[in-house]
Amino acid sequence: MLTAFDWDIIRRTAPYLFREGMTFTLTLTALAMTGGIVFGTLLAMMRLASYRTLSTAASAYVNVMRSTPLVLVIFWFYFLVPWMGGWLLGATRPIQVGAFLSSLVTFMMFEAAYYCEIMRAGIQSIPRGQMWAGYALGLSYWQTMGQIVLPQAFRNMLPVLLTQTIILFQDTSLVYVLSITDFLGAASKVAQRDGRLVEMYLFVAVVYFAISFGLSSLVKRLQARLTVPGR
Amino acid sequence: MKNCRRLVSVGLVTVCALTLVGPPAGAQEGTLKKIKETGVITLGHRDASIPFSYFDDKQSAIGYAIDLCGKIVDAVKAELKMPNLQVKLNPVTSATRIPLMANGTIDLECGSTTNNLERQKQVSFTITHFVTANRFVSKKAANLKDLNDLKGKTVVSTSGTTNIKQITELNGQKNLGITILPAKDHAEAFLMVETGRAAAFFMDDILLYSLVASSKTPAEWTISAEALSVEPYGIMLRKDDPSFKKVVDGAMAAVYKTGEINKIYAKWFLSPVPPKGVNLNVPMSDVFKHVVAKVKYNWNWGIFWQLSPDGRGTYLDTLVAGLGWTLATAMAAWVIALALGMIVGVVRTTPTRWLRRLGDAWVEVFRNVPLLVQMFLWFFVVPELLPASVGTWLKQLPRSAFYTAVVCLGLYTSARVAEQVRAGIQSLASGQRMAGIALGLTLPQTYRFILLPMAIRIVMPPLTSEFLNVIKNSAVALTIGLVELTASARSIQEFSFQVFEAFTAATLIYMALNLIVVIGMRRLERRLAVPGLIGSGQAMPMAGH
Amino acid sequence: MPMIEMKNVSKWYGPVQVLNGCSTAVNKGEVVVVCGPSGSGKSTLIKTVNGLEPFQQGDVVVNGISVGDPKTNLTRLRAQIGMVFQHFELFPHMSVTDNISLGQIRVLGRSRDEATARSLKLLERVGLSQHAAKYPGQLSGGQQQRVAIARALAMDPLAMLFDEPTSALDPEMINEVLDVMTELAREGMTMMVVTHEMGFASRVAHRVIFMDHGQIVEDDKKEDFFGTPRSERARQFLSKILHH
Ligand SMILES: Nc1ncnc2c1ncn2[C@@H]1O[C@H](COP(=O)(O)OP(=O)(O)O)[C@@H](O)[C@H]1O
Ligand SMILES: [Mg+2]
Repeated sequence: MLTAFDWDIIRRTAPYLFREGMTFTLTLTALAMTGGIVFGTLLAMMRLASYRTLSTAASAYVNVMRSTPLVLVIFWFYFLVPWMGGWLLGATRPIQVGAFLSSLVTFMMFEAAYYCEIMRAGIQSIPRGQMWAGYALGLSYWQTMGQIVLPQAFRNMLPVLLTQTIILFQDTSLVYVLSITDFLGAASKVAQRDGRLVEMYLFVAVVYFAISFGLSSLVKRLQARLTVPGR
Repeated sequence: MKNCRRLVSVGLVTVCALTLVGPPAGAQEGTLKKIKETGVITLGHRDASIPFSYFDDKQSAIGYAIDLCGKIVDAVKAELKMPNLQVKLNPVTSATRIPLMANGTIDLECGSTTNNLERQKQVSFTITHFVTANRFVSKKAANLKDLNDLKGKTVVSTSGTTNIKQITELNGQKNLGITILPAKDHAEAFLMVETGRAAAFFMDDILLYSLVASSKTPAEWTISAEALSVEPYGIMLRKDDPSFKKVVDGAMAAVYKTGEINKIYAKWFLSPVPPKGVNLNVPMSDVFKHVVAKVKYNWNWGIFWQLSPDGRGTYLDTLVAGLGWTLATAMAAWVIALALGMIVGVVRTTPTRWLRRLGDAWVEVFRNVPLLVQMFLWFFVVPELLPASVGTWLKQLPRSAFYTAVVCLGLYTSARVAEQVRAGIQSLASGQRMAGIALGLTLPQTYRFILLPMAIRIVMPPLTSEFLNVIKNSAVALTIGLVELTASARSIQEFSFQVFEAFTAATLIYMALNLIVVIGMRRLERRLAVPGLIGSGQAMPMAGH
Repeated sequence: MPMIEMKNVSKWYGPVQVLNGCSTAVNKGEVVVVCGPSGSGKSTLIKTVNGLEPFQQGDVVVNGISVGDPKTNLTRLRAQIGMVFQHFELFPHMSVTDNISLGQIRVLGRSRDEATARSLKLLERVGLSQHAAKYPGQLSGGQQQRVAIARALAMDPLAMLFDEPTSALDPEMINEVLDVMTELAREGMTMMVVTHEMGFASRVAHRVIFMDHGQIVEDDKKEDFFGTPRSERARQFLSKILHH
């Protein structure tokens, strides 16, 4: 039965899949991670702030994001981003936003909610004394946060942040619903064009597995190194 | 509010900064580029799809969709500043239209193609230009109003259409005992009712109108008010071509906004049309009027109380049905996930090494492949790898998307549950296991009476979030055609163009579900709480959704 | 025939040897205290008696049954040996009575009523009758350890093993546990006790075993051990324990 399959198609289309699709996937992952962590950290600081309005707003944002399916969030932003852009630029009509930018905003805003919770736990794991020690040295809030608390929190949470990023990497495949040519999108185009669903989807699964599994093994090793006795 | 705005600005500024290093914004690409380079735009048309797209007696392509495509061509000319753009016409059939679009032979398909999810996987559609419904035509004298009147009777439909598929499914589901005859084309089907061999003919209503209008005795016929489904027609273009789609959508929107659509519509549906000069006399349906009106965004929260075009109730009913599928999928998957996850989680803590390895492999496989890819594997790949007869049976299973989603989500989640159960058991000091063994309990007894009861209490909070994840993840099943909550919100948006209302409603429902589950689980946790033990909150957050 | 006999028991964790040719015997009704520095292998040794720790060389024979023999039904053997742990290891999700009844019902096959009656009687014996319906988390450490002893006794054991039963307790609770153990010894229970409570050892034990680096360095009558320990290591250990 296996003779009916054309495994050579993988060799023939791999350059396209990786050059077009995987590049998109990795770029999106890297940028969404960076933006997500930055925005997530800001959200975490807001959630921990003593101003009620600030912390309530941040909690509300995080809770809404965390209780909504990513697919729905992707649809939301697909329609919202042009309006948001128009509003921010002071234009009266929605602006034209490309698929890449739209999905980047989506993933940044969505993953920020998850990064926020990780960073919040990280900040809370730093003893309050560290904050006081910073103030005692005459540092301001932002200096203490930026130079003392956040670096430690970040370091403690590095493995969890990276694990979340691996999840983000897998999640980016959902841009499929916007017909974007990410890795999965590229493969499914070929699959549908040539009627090679079995070969292409199996190949996609193997590639995703290899990358995610490899990365999470690295994270595990990093975690073991970070938890050496005496730290 | 101000804070919020600043916050969004911060986010957007980051995005802008980031995009500088991202891929460059494309100049002209895709179809526009191709048209520009060749100087030709090719329209696909049908030969006998009256009055949408057909040959008149001089063998030139005319019709409602052709007129609309003319407007699009004008917009393309303006966009590319090519007033002398050459327009080529290329006939297509039901079978060839999608492949010819995919391989670049035609750039627009101007006909009567139903815009549905299945096709959206292959091609793209512009704004709906007509809405038809699956109804039945019968003799007035027979006095047949709805499906119930057809119980036990014989009906006919054209083979290979979505219409015959639907009536077949409904017949099975509702146990109507209808005998369904397939006819080789519309004319033959109509003849069977005319000659009394069948009581009714199920087809797109617009086709039925045209058949009735050109029949010998139009007054003898009636078309059912009840519709089995709604079929929005759209002009097809290639998928993944945003710059071309923008021009096409823009041209259509302009036709709708200026009211030009009313003239074009009247020309083809409310006046005699060539070649025979028959007047179909089909006024614009409410659904289609809605489509036209909504091209300009108007808030309308009352949308949920309006009738949806599927003829089975309001848009609210559509949402509720979607919610039903979401819950059914999530719960069925959860049962699988809990059962398997417990077993695999326990197996990963047993002293037997090969069992542990097996459990670990299970978890790694399901954790490291994106859920969407797993969904595709179960839906598209697994049936092909099975023996042909089993595969075909699977593919033809009614509700196969539902079963696929349940299995896929169940297994995917089982790996996550297994991970939590393992962590829960291992978080119990190894002394508990020893104490059980030292009492003379067997290993299974130790698990059953000592380790699992405590582990379950410990993993309750993480399991709650896993259950919430199943509910959310079930939305991924819309990619294989399951019309769950997110998909139903999207279909409301597609039919009514009330994007924000539809998505807001879905979001609120998801949030309410979240709240209900969290409160319910808290109650359960409190009921299972062990006196004297402080609920050990999880110190480290787990990465995940 | 001794109740417990260890013959040349050796055990490795990978390349690390944690028991090195340990031999000793405990007769019926005898109380033997095992002491030694932390990490010397005391817990490991005592857990080989009911097969909680497998070993690679030598054998342990309990009441004529070989622990090392793969054909031995270890589950049945363990039911006849009571064990008390440093951290009590009560089952937190069961009431005190259910903790004591579990083994009786599931292992010995007693009826629930029979088991409960027995449990209540044992609770009375360890002075905790009024706590029967409570959960372990609602008891003090000393009370929990007494429940743990009752749980072991409920199985009508041939011998009892104690692994540092008082070292997780606050000082004021140590005696309530030691009193129960002393009472048990008086009634003629065969006991192996890992403990640093030298007062208990000198009052109750018949013999004292001193371990270091996985070896049994001393195995003396109580009087000899406290009078003139033969090894330098034991002497140092004793002086550290007794003079601080
Ligand atoms: N699971 C294990 N793996 C490896 N080494 C262990 C393990 N358990 C105990 N050990 C080692 O065995 C030695 C004896 O341990 P133990 O019997 O607990 O000593 P004691 O009870 O005398 O303090 C120690 O060096 C300890 O580190
Ligand atoms: Mg010990």
